[in-house]
Amino acid sequence: MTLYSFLDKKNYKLWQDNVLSAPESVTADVVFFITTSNQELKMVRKRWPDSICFGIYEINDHRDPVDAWISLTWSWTQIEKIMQQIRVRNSEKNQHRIFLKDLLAQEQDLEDKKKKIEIDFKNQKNQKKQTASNIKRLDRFFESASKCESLEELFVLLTKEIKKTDPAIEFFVWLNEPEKTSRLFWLERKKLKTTWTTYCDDQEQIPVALAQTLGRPVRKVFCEPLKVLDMSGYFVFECDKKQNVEKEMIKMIAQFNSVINPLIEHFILIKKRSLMVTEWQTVFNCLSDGLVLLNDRDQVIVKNKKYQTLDEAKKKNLKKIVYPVSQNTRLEIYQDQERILDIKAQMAQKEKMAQLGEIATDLAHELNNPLTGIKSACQLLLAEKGLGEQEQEDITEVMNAVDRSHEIMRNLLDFAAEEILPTEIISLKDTLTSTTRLLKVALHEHSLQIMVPPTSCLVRAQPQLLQQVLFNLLLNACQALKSRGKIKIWIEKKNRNIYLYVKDSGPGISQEAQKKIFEPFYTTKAKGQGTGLGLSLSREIIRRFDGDIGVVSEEGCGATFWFYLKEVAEP
Amino acid sequence: MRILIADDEPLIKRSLERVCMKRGHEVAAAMDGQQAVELWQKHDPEIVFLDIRMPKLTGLEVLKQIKKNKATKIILISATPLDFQNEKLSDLGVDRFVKKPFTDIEQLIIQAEELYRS
Repeated sequence: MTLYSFLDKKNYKLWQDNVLSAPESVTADVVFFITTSNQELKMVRKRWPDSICFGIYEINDHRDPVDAWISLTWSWTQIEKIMQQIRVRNSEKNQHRIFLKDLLAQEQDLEDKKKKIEIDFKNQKNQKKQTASNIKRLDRFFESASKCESLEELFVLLTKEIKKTDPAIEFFVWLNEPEKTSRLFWLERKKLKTTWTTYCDDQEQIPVALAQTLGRPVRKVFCEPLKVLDMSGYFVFECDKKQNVEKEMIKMIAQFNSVINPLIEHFILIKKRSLMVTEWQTVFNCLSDGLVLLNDRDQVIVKNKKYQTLDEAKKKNLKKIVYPVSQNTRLEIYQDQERILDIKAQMAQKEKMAQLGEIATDLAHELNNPLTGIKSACQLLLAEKGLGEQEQEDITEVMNAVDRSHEIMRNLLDFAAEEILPTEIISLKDTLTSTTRLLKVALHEHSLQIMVPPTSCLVRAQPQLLQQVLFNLLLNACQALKSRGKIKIWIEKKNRNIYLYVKDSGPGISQEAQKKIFEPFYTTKAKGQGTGLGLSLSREIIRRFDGDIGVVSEEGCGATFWFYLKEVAEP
Repeated sequence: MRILIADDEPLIKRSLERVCMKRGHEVAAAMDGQQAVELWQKHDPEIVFLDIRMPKLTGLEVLKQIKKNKATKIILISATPLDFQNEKLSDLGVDRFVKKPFTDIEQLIIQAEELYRS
């Protein structure tokens, strides 16, 4: 694929200019630029904080420099994957900002509503032509209603007021929500009850729907429409057939409505808001970046869990991004760049492995053929009469080389094996015992110390594969010891994981080598001693079982390889 | 005995050829599937060593084209059993499958001779 066909295929737009002088309004997912200077690279990354920047060097051939560089380093598929990740990241960031703005707007909204209630309350009071007793009653009701602090309290008050007219009346609120579901509220033994019910926006159908929801026959039912926010519904009254209170009730509700309606709105908003805050706080706290919302006097309004773990020293190592949220608030994000780079490196590694798997099967097959031929020809040559000792040795060496090539091939095929073998619950302790038995001869030369806990240390894995990992680690330890040395193996339980350590008293591993030691085909052993696949294969196996593997070493002080798997509880 | 060898790897073909001749057999050797079919019809071999992955025709295609003499013993050679996972070898008249790499070439011929005699 070339740059242009990639752009075409994915419908990306290409923008070409000087990356450093580009106007701020230009944004990009990926930035390619030709440079050989680290200083320049830093400047470009600073200008494009949300983009992934590739500093590329010019390769003198007829192709576009980007194409030439990609063909030597990354693949377009990898670039595509990274771009997707960056997009998800950036859109998450935007969501937080929108969310914060929403929240602030909501608070303002609540404030406005409260003011409106107060004004309405005053207007209602001033309404003329009210009878003296009615004004008194309204006054009392408004007074109490404005003191209510929850929907429950308001309902209790309203129901009490209605029952004052006639204790036999039952009162309900039927709310139709925009998502085509309905909720019914009513008081039962002074407590607010609520239940989901079928959607009903036809006043005539309410008596039937009410009977179905309550699961009992209803008496005479009449309704008064209600509108709150984006919801509609009814005040529903149930009374005896003979009673003639309908007009009176509807008149009363009409009088109360100016206060009840905004209050119900107010309480619903408060509920929504508290739900929103909980949701948002959970999201906010779960993020792996440190986040803090500050006002213009640099006072912390809210911070997430990750931010609480950061001190000034730690912050210095993180990338700081600032977003304005409103006029006097801003959001600061502290990003761990190393972690992102680590993710990128892991992705590149995964890609490499997948490609390796794809070609391994074919490669192994193609190479097996000539290798078999070489070996057979060598056997025939060896059987010839009149060969000198020197020639015989040479031919034997060729045959050994063929055998080693076959061994590499077999390891490659193991690596490529896609199928996931069934796992079992097995004892790591037993696996260790059987592996040390297998390696009796190699381990015999050294002083071996094994320490295991008394329990059986159960893990979930595939027995042969797990044994292969242990085999690799123990054999590596033996090979690291040039002369008689010490090998110490121990098992430990930590945080519901079972760790196994293999420590040798060999020459240790340099920091440089430690970084590469789990990569395929990396080996420090002499030619012919190792294929460079043992440890990378081990890592692949351990990760397949949801564990991890690593090494701790200092040059001259030996090396300790470790891996862990999740502990399975003893039956 | 008349033996047909079909393998596109020159060294394998040559080695098999040499061992067979050394043991006094009459040998015909093919470098691809089409040549294998021609030589098979011409020589009516008693033992056939047949590689699966070959140019022009695969070993399995060769078997489908040949009218097999019942006495002929067919030894199929391949680096991976995946090559014939969808085929029933007995239906194709295969008597034995040998996986590459084989360890001892002389032993391979001896076993084939025994197979023919049995």
